[in-house]
Amino acid sequence: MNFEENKIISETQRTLDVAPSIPRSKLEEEGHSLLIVDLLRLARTFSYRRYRLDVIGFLLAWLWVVLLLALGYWITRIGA
Amino acid sequence: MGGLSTLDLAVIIVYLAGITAFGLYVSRRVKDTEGFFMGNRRFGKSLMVAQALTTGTRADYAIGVAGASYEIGMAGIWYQWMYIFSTPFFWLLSPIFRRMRYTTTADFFEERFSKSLGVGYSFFALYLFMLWQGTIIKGAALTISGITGVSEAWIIWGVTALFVLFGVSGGLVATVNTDFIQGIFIIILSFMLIPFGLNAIGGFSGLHARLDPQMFSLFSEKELSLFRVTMLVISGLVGIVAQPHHMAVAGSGKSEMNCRVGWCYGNFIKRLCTIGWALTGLIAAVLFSGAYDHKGRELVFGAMIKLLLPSGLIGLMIAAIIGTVIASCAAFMVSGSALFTRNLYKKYLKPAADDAHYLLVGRVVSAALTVGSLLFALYMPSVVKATIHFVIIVAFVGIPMWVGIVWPRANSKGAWASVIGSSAMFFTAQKMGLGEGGQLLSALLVGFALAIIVSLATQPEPADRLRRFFTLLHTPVGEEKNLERADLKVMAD
Repeated sequence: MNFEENKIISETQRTLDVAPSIPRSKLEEEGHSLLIVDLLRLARTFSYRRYRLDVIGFLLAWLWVVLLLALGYWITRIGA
Repeated sequence: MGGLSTLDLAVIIVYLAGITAFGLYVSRRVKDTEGFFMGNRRFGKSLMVAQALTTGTRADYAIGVAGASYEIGMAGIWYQWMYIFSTPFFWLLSPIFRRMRYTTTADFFEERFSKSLGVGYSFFALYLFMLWQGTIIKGAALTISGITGVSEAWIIWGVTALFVLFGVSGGLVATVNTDFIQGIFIIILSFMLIPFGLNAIGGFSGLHARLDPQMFSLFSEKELSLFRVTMLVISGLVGIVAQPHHMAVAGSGKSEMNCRVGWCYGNFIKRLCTIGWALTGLIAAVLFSGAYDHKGRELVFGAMIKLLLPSGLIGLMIAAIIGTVIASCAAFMVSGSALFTRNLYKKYLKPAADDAHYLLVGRVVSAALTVGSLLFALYMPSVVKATIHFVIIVAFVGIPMWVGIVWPRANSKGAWASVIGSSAMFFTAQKMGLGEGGQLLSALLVGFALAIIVSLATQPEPADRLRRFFTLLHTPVGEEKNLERADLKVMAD
């Protein structure tokens, strides 16, 4: 087990300071960690690997927002 | 009947008979409360998308946006697009709802904070459900009555009977399984009038030739300034977590990914439909220029249907409106009865009954809530006003929910102070004559500040309560063995 893995596991287990006995989650370490839940600790815990699903899906969703806004604007321009 | 042809009537009857038979057929599978309220958390991606679309999309939204766009132009779209910037957050929030493994949002307040907050939220949510259902029924009845000439009261009772039959018999299973069909009808509702309308006014170039250029702007100083829209967007995001039906909409998927895709992309389809409603309003501004004043603007949707659609399609449009009412109201009714049954009746009135008893209570309460919502409908000034009222009050309850998820130090006293303080600040700002944007900004700032200050000044929640709550949030679906290892009993799985 290398240093990086050790660090990740320890972050999972002490992710909540007031309740340090949270069991280790393999899925969280592999990309299922939640940005909002860890919001105040992101400076310590953030890595693309841990938050992969949140990061990819969130960015993709913003792309949809931009596309919809562009579509709304474009529709008002048709025939102008 | 009224302005309807035989063909229109036939379309409506076939639709209603078909949808009711299907709902009753799938409801045979509902045997317990978990199945009734949460569909046993078995829904796949497509059903979750359909549920998010249909529960969050109602005929009165189309009527409200089209009416606003008729008067103030494309800017009317913000009465629904206020949630467009919240939608990406649904991707992040839905796994939180799923991981909590609660049945109702009141469970969240009780488990994270205190029993008193759970009870308080339950009553608040029951109020919201009745408010929503009243608005939906009223909006649909207004439009259908305008088209057909049938009395509004008859339509109200008829539509209500249908969704009660639906929700009471089949719970969330019946509702979600018919959501596919309703989803198609919602899209039909959103776009059907546009080609007929454009044809009548000479296409898009005719639209531009006959309307003031300001009508095509996304902002209108008359009613929706940039500041007001910004504050509505922020309030929408703060309040979105506290909307009582979202525990089922975001948390009833089989996996976390199903919940993410369902809630996020079901709502993106809705945002797309919103463009159609706003465009319909612009077309109406040409067709009925000056015919309706501010109070009567929500009648333009019905007037468009009557003027533009041929026989048969009018029936289809009415069926589409009824479809959205059934889908939304049945879902709200089921969520409302879940709240009452699980968070009030089971906990404080009859804790030791068998599941069949609670299922019966859930069904009776569903019907009772609906009667309450009918009474609400009579006093609603307008669909848009009801929507804004809802966005505002739900944001005050959303503050402690956000703080409670993000910050372990937040406690029950801070949560109560936040809800009471933000509400008080809002009404004070209103009395002082501040604009709506200013009222919202001051109320939200006070709400967040009080949640933090009062929590810091008082004792934190007991460590065991926090451990339970945050262990759930750090245990993805599929790793329930970790919960057993932590000696945690899961509420709903």
